[in-house]
Amino acid sequence: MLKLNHIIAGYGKAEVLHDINLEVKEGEVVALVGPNGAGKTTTIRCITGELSVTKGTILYKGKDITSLPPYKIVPLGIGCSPEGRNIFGNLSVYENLKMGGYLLKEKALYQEQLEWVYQLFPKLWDRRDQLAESLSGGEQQMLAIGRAVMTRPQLLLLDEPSLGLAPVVVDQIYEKIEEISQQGSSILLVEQNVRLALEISSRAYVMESGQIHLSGDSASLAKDSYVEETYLGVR
Amino acid sequence: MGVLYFFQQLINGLSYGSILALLAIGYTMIYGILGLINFAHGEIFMIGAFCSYLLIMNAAASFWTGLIGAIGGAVLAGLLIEKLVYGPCLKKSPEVLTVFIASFGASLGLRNIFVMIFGDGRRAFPTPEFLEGIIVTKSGLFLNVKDLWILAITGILLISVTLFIKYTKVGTAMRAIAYDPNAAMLVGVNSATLVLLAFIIGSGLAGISAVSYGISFGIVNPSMGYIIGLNGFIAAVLGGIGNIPGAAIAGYIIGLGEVLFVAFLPPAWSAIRPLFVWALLFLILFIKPSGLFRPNIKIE
Repeated sequence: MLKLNHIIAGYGKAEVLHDINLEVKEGEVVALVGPNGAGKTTTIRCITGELSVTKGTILYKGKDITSLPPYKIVPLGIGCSPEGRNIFGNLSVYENLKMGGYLLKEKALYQEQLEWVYQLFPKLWDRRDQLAESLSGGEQQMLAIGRAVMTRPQLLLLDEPSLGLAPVVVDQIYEKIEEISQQGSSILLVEQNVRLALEISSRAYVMESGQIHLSGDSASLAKDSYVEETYLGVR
Repeated sequence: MGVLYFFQQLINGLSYGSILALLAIGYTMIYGILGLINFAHGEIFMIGAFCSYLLIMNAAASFWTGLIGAIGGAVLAGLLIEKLVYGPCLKKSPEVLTVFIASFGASLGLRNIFVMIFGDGRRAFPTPEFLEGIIVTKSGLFLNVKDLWILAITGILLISVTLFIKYTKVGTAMRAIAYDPNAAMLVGVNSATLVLLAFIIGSGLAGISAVSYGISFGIVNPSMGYIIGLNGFIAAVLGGIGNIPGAAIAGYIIGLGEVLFVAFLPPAWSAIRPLFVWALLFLILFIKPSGLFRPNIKIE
């Protein structure tokens, strides 16, 4: 479904990604894990079109989408909940979701999606007229995900959905991510919480200093001695 | 100086406030989307006034054609400034200072081109007959027909813009982009289109405002946009930058304040009329830098 071939990218002269190869297949949850500054978010930004790649190609359903602007990527069925959530604090919860459905032309589909998101996150319904700024961290994360799935994307990119949240809230968010996956979205999940990411995903990539260091089945990676020692704190 | 005098001045203030309110929306809308203060907005206003003046005087056009010409001319000027100045500037070096200076340059350049062509003298704006009348109410209040027109048309425009920004998808996107351009991009908003739209709406309103100014003060000249443009900008700050209804309300506060300041203080003071606005700006920046109403931008 999504294929990154030999991606090289960076900011100005600083190259951040050195030859990244990555694949997400239909229906999969794929985790991209690694330490801070490894280039995980940069990878996401290349896929969404926020950052143009220096070299390499990104294929989505066989189509070359390398360096297309985001407003051309979103309608292809790619949704993204960015790192740090980036909700529109000056808009109400409802207006945030309305923005999520910005590209939905059909009114009926928009209504259907809106209802689905409210079902998925009943708290957003309760707070629909509140300013998004006034939500708690967990609720803001729910809103960011809700906004990203308004178009019912076939591929959902989630960047650090657990960042800065209490464990109980993280569990709630992850339940919803599983639910979204079961509804048919393929997911590429960026996560610093490696244990959690390996639990929910079927395959995973371990990224270090702009390169894919390891990849494979999440279950076997969880037992890998390097991963255990470096990321899971097992000695 | 009775109640009557007060009401008389109130109407004058509201009429002047209408001109400022329409101008302030342009400043605040463009700031919201591009994060820059378009100091050439006053010149867009001036160009609008000149377009209607030239159409009516030299092409024997009707007042309404002149009004459409003012809107068209202002919109064209706004789009050209965006394409030739801000677009390239933001692409090459998106630093605040560069764009700020470019904005001043565009303002000075345009003003002086017009001085070169038309001279800096004041020209009488041709106010049509149907706007010239005065209605005297039973209580003895003198109402200028033109003031009533200005109030009515501005009122309709302000309500329309507010509803557009509040309820339409594109209006919501304009507010969203003001808060977080990156996140707006991620939901599929094409900011380039919205930038153009902001320049079209803002400049169009400036064109209408310019015609109001023309019939209200009876003159046009190349520097007409300078002081009033600054007042419009101050209204945008006072109203909470990016907040469109806020900018409009602040335009009325400044318009009313300035007129009442002159009306109720000794005549000798009227020379320091501009001081009122600057004192107000100083006070706001001192007490509540974010403005009277909620700014529509992300405050870190």
